Amino acid sequence: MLRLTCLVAIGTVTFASSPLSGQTMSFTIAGDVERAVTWELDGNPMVLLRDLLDHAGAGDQGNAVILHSSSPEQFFSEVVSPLMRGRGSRLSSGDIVIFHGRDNSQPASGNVVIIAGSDSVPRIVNLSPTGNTLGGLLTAIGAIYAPTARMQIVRTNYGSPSPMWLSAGDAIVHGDVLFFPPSVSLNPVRISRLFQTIAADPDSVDHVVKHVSTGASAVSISEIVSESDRLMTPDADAMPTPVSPATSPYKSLVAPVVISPVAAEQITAALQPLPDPADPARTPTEESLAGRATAVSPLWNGVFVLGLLGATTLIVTGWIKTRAEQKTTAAARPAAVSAQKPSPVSVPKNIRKPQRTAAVVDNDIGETKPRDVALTNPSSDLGGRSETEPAESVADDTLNTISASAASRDSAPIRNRSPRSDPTGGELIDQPEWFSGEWIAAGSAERQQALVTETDSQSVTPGNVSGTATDGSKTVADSSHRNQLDDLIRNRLPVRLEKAQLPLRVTLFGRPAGPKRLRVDPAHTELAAPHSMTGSRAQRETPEAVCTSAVRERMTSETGSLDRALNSLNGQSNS
Amino acid sequence: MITAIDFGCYTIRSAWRDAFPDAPVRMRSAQSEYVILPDINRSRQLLNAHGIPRAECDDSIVVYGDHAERARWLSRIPPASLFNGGMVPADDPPARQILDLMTAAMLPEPHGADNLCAFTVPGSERRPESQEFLARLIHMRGFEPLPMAASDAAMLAEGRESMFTGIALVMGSETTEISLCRLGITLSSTRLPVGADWVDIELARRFKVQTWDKAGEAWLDLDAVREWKHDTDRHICNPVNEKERALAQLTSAVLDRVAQSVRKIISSSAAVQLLSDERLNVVCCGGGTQSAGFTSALTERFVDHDIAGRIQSVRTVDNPSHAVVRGLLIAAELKRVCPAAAAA
Repeated sequence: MLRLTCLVAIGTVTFASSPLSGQTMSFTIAGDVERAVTWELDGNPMVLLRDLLDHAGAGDQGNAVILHSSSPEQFFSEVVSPLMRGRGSRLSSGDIVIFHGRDNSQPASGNVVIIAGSDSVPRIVNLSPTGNTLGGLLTAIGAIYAPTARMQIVRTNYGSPSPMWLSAGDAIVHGDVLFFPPSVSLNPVRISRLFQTIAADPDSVDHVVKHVSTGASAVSISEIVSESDRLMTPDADAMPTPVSPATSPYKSLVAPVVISPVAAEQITAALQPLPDPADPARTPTEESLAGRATAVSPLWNGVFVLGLLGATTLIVTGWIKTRAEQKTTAAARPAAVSAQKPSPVSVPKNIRKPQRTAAVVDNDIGETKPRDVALTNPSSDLGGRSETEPAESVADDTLNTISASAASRDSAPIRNRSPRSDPTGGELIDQPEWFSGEWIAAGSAERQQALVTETDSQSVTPGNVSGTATDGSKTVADSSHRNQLDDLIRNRLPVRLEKAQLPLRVTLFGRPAGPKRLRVDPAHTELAAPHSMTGSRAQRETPEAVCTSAVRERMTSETGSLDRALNSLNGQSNS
Repeated sequence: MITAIDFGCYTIRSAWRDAFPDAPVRMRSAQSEYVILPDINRSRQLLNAHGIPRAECDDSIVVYGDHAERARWLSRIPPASLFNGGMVPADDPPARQILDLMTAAMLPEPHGADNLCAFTVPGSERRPESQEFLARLIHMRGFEPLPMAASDAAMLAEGRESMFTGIALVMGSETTEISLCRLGITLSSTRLPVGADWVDIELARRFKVQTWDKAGEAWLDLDAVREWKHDTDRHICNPVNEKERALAQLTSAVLDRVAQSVRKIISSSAAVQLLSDERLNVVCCGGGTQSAGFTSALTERFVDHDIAGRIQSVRTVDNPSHAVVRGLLIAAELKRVCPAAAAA
């Protein structure tokens, strides 16, 4: 009874701390990527720039502009290359990454990111190849705005962010991030209709794109918004028509009380990227689940919550049971073996990921002495274990028999494998693990340690072996400095842009000269008197003659000014 | 601490690195412009309300740096460059004082033994005076100034693939600098007194791209011209209307002088002795090279001047805005690591 009470309490706590309580992180990536998306992750995982780029299908070389917390004021750019050290900057929730590749890998239809004051989700809009204007985009998404309004954007097409203000008639280009003021609000009904059209034919990716007619403004903005919103899109038959704002998928994304498939995945602690609803690989179960969850039925929501609670309870039960059995196993071990326990860092990892750790350690065991390890394991014949548990115990014992440094050396190469470079890396390290970036930080620290060690040993040349310790440290410092200089020359170092902090108020001497050379005409101090023709014989030019003479005069003036400029340039050249 | 600062006529950029390993390159940039506002309470209240830094001068208020664009609508006078005419102005005391303020804001606090700062000098006229003035500003911040040509810095930043051998071209707002380098050592260089601003001003004059201030005076609106020119639909090799044809013609005139200068420097005695008939890569950076079709237009000018056979490739760098300041940082680091090589 006590155990059951504990399980219920733990289940309640787990449910309360689940992503349903709104603890999610979102990252947006756009630009020269295969999938411009907004990711939502639960918890507080460590997401690095390279992780996000790999998931979005970005190229190996380019420049990433990062807008911190979706702010037009806080941004920096970072150079991405295969030779870069580490995996780039750590991203925080709300960051927007615009990637520009060096290999002209711009997608067929460019994309921009829009952030509305009334909308908490950065939304990605695909552009048509030409003729995109800000007014056309606003019309396409059904926004209400003043025609004279100017809106702030961050332009990233040169790889470096530059804030600017645009009016409705100005062009927008691939990679722009548009910040709409609070006065501009997105039309949720319009957007929900877009989603409805998306879900109407989920079997074809092409049908996901909806071309929105913008009428006379003639900007053919094609679709869609954030990938997260696609996930929230219900099936057409499950979605009541007409769609009201209260039941639109857009609302369901931001409403914390509605249970959604996204939330279900988050509860199961799957930190994987959200699947595309138009993906043919998506299972019918997911489709039906998505349809049911967004059917906005309180009864089904309640059933869904109860099911989740039950599943969580089962998971926690199994976990507690496993822990209890492991404690029993540890108590049964001889004192000599238990005295050589592995470091506290490695034990929880082995417990949390038994299958994967077994695979890793099997490789290591093959290089060491697998038979001896198996023989010295006194608890290998314990009953009631799953198939993975013997391997796990072998892993523990293997870690017991080797030193901590050897363990780090052996595990680092496997953990540092890039999933792109090594297809088996995905089997050894599952997606949530490498996407979180925790192992990368540990691996890079180990690699850095190894690098420093190698540098120390290599820097001691025969010529300076007899030198003092100070000489040796100076040599190491010089070598390290040369490495950093080499990174700087190769442009492998990340670039962090900052703003200059100017004094708020100063007093200066003198009078500013101003832009003298830009001054064209001084203002007229007094108006000339009207020159009215009083005589009846006043000769009036015909409109055609006036027009012709005016055009001729203008053409002569333009040609003359250009000739003057070119002659001036030639004069400078001759002098 | 090793730092670098690029005094541009349109933007001032600085860069440095912290001492710890794998530290990122930290960069600051600010527009080297200011706007003049009337000295009235309403202007002060608005600037205070928006937290915009300002400087109070005789009979006027000046907003400078990146904030100039935000406050321009209060007077509608276009911004003035701190390097009016491509040099440190002798007749504009507030501009000289603002340069001091911005230098202090752009550079970090010096620490350590080797406090070195590589910098560029804008413009082509009265260059020694400008260099002396800027060097003193840097010295007042605690750094040893190291003047350097922008084109030499560009070669250090972007010439790695060609063994730092070739031609570096930096087209700024007021000047165009060209250097011929071999293994990172400059063999010959030249500086032209024309840049992107010359094209913009002529375009604004011809097509009367103007703005009027409150007093009714007309000013050339260079910001509007720049915005139009950097539109992705513009291509200087494929003009489709009168305005684009004028842009192509003016740009070609500048590039014609560039090709003429390149022909001179590759026929100099040092280049003939050390490079003989080696084909050279041309690296272009600076704000004036960001127009679409720039490399094609420059290649056409090389063909016109019969030097296309000496050119291997013409390319603009990936990040033309930051190449020079990064090259300056490399030069300063080289100066610290191997002073003899840097001096050579």
